[in-house]
Amino acid sequence: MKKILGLTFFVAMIGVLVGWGMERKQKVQDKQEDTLEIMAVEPLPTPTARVMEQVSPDGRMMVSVNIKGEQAGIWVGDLMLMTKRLEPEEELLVPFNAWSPDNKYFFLERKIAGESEFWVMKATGEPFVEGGIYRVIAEPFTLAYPELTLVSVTGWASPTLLIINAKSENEPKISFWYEVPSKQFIRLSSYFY
Amino acid sequence: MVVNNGETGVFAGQEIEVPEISLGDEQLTTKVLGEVANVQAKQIYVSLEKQLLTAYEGETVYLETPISTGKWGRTPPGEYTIWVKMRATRMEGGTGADYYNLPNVPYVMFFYNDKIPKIAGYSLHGAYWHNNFGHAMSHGCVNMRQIDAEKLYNWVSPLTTGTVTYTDAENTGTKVTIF
Repeated sequence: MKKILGLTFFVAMIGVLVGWGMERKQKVQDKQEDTLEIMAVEPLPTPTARVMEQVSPDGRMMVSVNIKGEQAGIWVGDLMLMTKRLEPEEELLVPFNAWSPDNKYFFLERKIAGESEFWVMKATGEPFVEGGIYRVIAEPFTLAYPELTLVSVTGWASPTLLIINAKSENEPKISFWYEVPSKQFIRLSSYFY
Repeated sequence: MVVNNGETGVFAGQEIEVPEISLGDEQLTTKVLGEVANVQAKQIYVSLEKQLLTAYEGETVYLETPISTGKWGRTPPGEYTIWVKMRATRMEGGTGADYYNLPNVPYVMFFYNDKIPKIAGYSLHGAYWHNNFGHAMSHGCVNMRQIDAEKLYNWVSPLTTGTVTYTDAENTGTKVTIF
């Protein structure tokens, strides 16, 4: 009797093991089929990532614009100051002379449809007194000097003075200083090449 | 050489915060003459038109960077030799609205030739008071970003032996061409 019971138990165990093995094999096959199915799906287009960055003249600070798809992020070191959705034909550029000499401000060039405007920001990301964490230079310049066209912002003459080059129909080379704290444009007698 | 920490500079009619220099915290990049091969192959070119400095070691570009030469004073073209370099010095000059007084001007490399004497004080150096490189902005010297000036200073001859290093028969100066 004991032998019969032992034999029955042995046969039952073999059956369980064979069943478990077949089930496992099926799962592996299913998984492989799933994997094959996933691989067969056409991959989504990955947005192209671009990083533009500029170190400060003393090497202590870094500003970067990270662009992925339509999204641009403005960073100072590990601090993200803002993100912006880019329009078609819009670019955010980091000029070589972006940093103010004391590392308190930086400026960026925004190009849209071939037209340039310039933003000034505080390195801390704090807003200016009038609100907003960046200040656009081109618009107030055009309001103050409607007869002139802002051509370029070349860099910083001092920790708070941005150098602006402009032109008119009669005068091709006119330079200004833009004093960041006071928001004043100061017309200069000599041109900054 | 005098370091003037705690002073305020003047440039473009504005007061300028002067970066402090702590010589004790710095490790001077000094080299034994024999360690650096081919010293004579080093050559610096400064393009006034492009406002660009290019430093070559043989045919290899060691450094290329926008610089600022004379706006309020002319930077004279010519072939020069560096005769002394200083970790920092004060620069003062100009009059009226162009007056400047700048302590702790970093990484100064003075050059001269038979027409421009040493006393004229022309040099390559770092500039902490402006950031308008690639455009004329100086009173005659060649202004560079501080990071570029440091890199050049540690590369040019005479090879650094202290905070002030003069050339001598064995430690000659790198050639500078301004055109």
